[in-house]
Amino acid sequence: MQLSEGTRIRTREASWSEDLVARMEASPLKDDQIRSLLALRLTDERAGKFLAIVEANPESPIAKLSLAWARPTTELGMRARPGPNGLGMPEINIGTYGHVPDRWPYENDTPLGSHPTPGSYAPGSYSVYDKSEVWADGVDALYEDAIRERWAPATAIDWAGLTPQPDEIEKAVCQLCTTFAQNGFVEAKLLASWEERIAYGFHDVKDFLATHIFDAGRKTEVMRKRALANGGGMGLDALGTIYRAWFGALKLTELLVAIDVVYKSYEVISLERLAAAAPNAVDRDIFSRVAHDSRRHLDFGVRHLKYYVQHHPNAREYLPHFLNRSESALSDELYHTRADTSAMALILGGGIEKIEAGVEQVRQLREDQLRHYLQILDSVAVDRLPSVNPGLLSLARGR
Amino acid sequence: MSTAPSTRPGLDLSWLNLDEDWGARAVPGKKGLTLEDLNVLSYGNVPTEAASATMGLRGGKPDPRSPRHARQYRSKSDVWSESARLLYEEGMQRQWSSAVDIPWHEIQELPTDVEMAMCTLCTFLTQVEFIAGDLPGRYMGTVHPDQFEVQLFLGTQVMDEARHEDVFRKRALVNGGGLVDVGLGASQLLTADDFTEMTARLHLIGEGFVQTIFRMGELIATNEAEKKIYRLSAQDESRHLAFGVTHLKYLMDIAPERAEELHHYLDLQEGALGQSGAGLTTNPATGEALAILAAGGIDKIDEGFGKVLLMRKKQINEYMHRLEVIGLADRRQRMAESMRVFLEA
Repeated sequence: MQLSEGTRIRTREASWSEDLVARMEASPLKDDQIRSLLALRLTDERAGKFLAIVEANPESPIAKLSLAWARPTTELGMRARPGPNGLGMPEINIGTYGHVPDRWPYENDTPLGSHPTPGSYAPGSYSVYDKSEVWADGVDALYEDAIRERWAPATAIDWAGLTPQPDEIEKAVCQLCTTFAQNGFVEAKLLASWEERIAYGFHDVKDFLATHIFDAGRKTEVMRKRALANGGGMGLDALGTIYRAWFGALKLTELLVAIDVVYKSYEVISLERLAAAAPNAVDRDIFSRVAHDSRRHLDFGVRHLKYYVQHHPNAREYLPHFLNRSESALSDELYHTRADTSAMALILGGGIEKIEAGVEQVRQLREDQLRHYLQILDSVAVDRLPSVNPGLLSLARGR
Repeated sequence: MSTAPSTRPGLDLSWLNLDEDWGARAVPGKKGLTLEDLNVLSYGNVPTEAASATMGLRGGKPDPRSPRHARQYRSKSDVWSESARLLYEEGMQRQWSSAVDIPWHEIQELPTDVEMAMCTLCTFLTQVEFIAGDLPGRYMGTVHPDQFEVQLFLGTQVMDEARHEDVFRKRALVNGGGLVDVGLGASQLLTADDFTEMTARLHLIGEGFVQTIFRMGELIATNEAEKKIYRLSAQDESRHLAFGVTHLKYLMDIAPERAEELHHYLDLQEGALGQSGAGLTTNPATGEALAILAAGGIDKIDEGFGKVLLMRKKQINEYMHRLEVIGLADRRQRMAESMRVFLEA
């Protein structure tokens, strides 16, 4: 075999000796393989040692190595450096590895910044390829936040600090924990089922959703533990009408709007109110921690919605339908699940004898939740007040 | 008493009278308040056949109005692992951060062949680890709320695999290299169409083979950062593998008539391993990269291939040992020829 002119030039640039080049040409190695050895910047001595292995056994598989990986079509020379919070995802989103295209071109499991090898490209089961359907600016930092803020209910909660409380308060806490646990279980199911549909190029989002799934599982865990730790038990199942909007989401954005914007904007306020009002410090800690996680999910949902509104060509057409369905499911759930409403009233009121004050506090809660939700939509240029679900308005008005 | 809620708007306090299984006082043990500790009253009883098609968790009082969902397995044997609770808790306790728990500053300039080999291996691992998260994610949807602990465990796996995707991506991008072009990866695993098939092909074979690579980290790592990456990742993979083994063992204990079905899944996956370019850790680029890393350079690649062959044998022998634990000791006689050649090489 005679080296091509280009390869020969590179051997000279690499300062390989003429003797080595002659041995290469006499060996079973191909021009492509030698170009790969040159790309690996082997010295004359090390290239000679490799060649000696080949020469010792020309029939061995080593003589037929591909070595194509030594000359990839990707960007090399990357030197990501840790930032103030270590080597996070934002720190490695550099060069082509940080450029997320508007439409991901590959239908297989090619990571962002890489490309399929010709002859080794088989499509996967992905269906979300448009950035506007999945993206949220800053999602890489949210992913690292979720990792940094992790906690384990088994040991992070002072379970021994739980103290007996009036029966109706304990039952109210258990009732709400039953609902939150169930909601976490279903959240995780739905988000997890969408993971495999999201194309690989959006790995930042896939990774963040993994933390979200993990958080949802933790919510199920901690709420169930709480229900079973202080002389109570599981309460009445959540009705589950709200899940119809989640299971029925036909687009990823619809699911994210349903869970991470509509539902979370309400859940966060409920949890924060409970974190302030629960008589037991352990309960306050639990609700506060879960609220913190929920805020992060809401933050993601809002960032995605903002991106969607600004970049998806049909956002103004589609979004009202997504919101209609999600709001309707939430409204139906809140309206028909009066166990949770009265449990909340008992806790916020401070006991059965103050249930009327509690009912007013729940009405105030619904008003605050609705305001919170509408403000969030305002912040992403969606004026929802004129068309918000009338059931949510009625709940805010106490009717 | 009736648990039927009022159908009229307004306050409903009937739930205050729920008195079945009331008085639960789960007590924390040495490892805190774990899922195992919640097995008080009847809350730990997992029915062999789930009754309800709603999303109510085990032990909750059903709301007769709740909509049904038809996507979940009803039989416990389809998804259950006796270790799911334990493995979930371990997964919660052993989370780590690729941003701060890896001593990235320990990575020094490497010869280009070694750096590119590491980047090739990291590209492959980044590629396959997402499949290992996407697939359990799909099957989380099929777990019935009566067996919710299984879904919780799979959620920790999805998290672990995301972290693996990120840590290998980070490693590829910190030391002058980058990702390389990808081969076929492991996307054929996405063809699994049943929970147990997923477990057999992904957890038992796929995760098992990758875990052997991680456990050989001492051999292929060039610095403390890489050693820690492999050590921590191996710890995670051990949980995933343990889930697979204990699910399949439970299945074989409860439904031994499914043994041949299980063998068939193994036939399919073992066959795929032997196909050049389509295997889990046997595609040419990954094999070449492993050999260079094991040897410490391409100029000693013959030594490296010798070590990789030992690793292959180790992968297969460990896999066979797991099958013995599951109750499929006869697999050693039935393994695919494409796998046996590694043992006989």
